[in-house]
Amino acid sequence: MRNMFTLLVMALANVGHHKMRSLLTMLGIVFGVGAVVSMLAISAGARSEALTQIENMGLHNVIVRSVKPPLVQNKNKGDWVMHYGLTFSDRDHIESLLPSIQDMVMTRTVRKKIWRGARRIDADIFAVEPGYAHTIGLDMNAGRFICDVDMEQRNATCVLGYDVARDFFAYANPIGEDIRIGSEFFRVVGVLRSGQKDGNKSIYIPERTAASVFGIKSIVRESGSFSGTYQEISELIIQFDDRADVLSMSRAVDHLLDKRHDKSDYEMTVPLELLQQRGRTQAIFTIIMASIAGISLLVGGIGIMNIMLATVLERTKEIGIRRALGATRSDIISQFLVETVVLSSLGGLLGLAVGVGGAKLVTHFAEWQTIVSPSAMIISFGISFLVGLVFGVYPALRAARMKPVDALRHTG
Amino acid sequence: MTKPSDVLIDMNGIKRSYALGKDRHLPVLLGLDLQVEHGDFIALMGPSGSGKSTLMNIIGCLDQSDGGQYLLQGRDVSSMSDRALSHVRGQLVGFVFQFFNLIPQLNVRENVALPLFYQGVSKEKRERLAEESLERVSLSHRIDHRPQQLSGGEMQRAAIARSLISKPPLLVADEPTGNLDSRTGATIMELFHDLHKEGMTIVMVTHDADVGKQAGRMIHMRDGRITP
Ligand SMILES: Nc1ncnc2c1ncn2[C@@H]1O[C@H](COP(=O)(O)OP(=O)(O)OP(=O)(O)O)[C@@H](O)[C@H]1O
Ligand SMILES: [Mg+2]
Repeated sequence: MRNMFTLLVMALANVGHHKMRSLLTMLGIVFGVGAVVSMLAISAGARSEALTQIENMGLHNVIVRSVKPPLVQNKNKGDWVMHYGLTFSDRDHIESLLPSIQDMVMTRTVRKKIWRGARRIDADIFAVEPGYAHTIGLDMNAGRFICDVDMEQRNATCVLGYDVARDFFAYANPIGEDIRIGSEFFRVVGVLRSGQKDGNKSIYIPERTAASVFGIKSIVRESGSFSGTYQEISELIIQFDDRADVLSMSRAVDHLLDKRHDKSDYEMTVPLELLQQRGRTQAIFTIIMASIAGISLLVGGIGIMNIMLATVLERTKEIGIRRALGATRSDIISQFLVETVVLSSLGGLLGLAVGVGGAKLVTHFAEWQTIVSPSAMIISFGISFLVGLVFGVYPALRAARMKPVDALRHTG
Repeated sequence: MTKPSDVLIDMNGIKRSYALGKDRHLPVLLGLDLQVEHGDFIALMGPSGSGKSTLMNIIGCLDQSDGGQYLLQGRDVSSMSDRALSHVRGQLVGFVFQFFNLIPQLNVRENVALPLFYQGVSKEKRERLAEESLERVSLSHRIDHRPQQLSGGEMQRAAIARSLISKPPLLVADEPTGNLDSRTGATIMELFHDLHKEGMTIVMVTHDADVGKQAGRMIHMRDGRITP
């Protein structure tokens, strides 16, 4: 192909000459590429968000939660306290039987009201052990986390999530201040950094302190009647060491617990497993998306081809003139192919802008994370280029196939 | 007999018929012989439908005969590939049409330079030669205009400038004055005479007997043959 540059300039001039028509011709490609770019951005955003969430749970961790079983039968009739969930003995059992456990921490949800003077706020209270912050990976904004001494001496200390600290103390320093949980006063010894997993709206207190001042039973009054639960451990996080096969260890945990529980009053979360499932759904999603993108680009390509066929017909005389002046068939093919590719690539560029804009809108209004990666942009542009090439071939061949005399005789 | 090297166009038994649907053919050229020497100025005349344009298209290599032999400057073009024929058109033949056939999207300079584009000549050289060629037809002042902004005579002069730009040995003109008033036609004919004096071989179709008489040689066509 000689004089590529001149062909490009000519094609651009032709596109510029029929601005409105060119724009309408490109529309299919514009929206096709736009859809591809924004869908890629949305899925990349969703994936990264999900990955962060899963990774935050810890890929070496197995999380076991107590859940209320479908039907609770109380041991004694008239006993309105429901017994279910994980027990300390479960924990000791797992610890003594399973190898490669690096760490194991528990929390117990404490259902009490929280006060600061006359102000009350809503937050989740967790009774935890000192290792909790380290195992979960919570960072401190100020002060310290609950320590061994707190546990041993059953100190009434507490650590506040960032939002809780803000709610109660605004910009004042909460450390050393007291808050009231139920009827007990707890001294604030630390505040978590903001944006930490579920920690923002939580309050942590030493487990033994909680057991001795509140007991393990929790009693809630609901519309005049009392209901109580007895639950030693609400959540147990088992952390395995780096070499352990987390998936088979999780099955072992399930097996051990299953033998000790006659009702299904616990559930397990294995972040690593979630990650793998996520990979599978992602693959399906990608296939579906690729098909949608393929169809829209096909439609866009057919649109371009249609207009180019009309253009070839309209410019039959011009083709005849060029052939009379020495243009070969391949010269004519190059000319129309370049023109189609220019159209589709311009459409691709516009589509890129539409797609990036669409992703921004989605982020702005739906508050979904979106990621427009450079590779997605290059791929979409490359596809629009290819669409032009593929769908330009037929009109270009039609243009080149005409005999010079017939083309010249064409009127109109 | 002339020496073979003096013969530019050598046609023997050229036949051409047009397909009219299934199995029906309209024979237009019925075994035509024509010899044109370098430097000839020929006026091709004859009634409408006698096949003048058909012959001109074959002479200019826009079309191929279905029988007979055609040697252009010693080369057998009756059996050439489409690609080779394109190159022959670009290098050996300059066309002047009745309806000028300028490309409306291009300005005069670009139109005139177009044949050189297909010969792979650089842009600077194309533009320089286009300017020279336009000077030759006294149209330098319209170089940046679009064809639509020119008068009929100016358009035909631009078309002649285009046909001259690759310095072809042969000029083929099918009714070049047919779409012009007689005064403008006369200036175009003057230009042809000048070119002829400079040694250009010209084959021209005309309906105008006066115009035909100005040429060096008149050829009459009737019913697909050249009449003596
Ligand atoms: N593409 C074609 N298909 C079918 N018939 C054609 C075609 N081109 C020309 N003809 C017919 O061939 C005959 C010769 O046509 P041609 O154009 O060569 O005549 P001409 O001598 O140039 O006439 P005019 O002086 O009117 O231009 C005419 O009868 C015409 O109808
Ligand atoms: Mg004619």
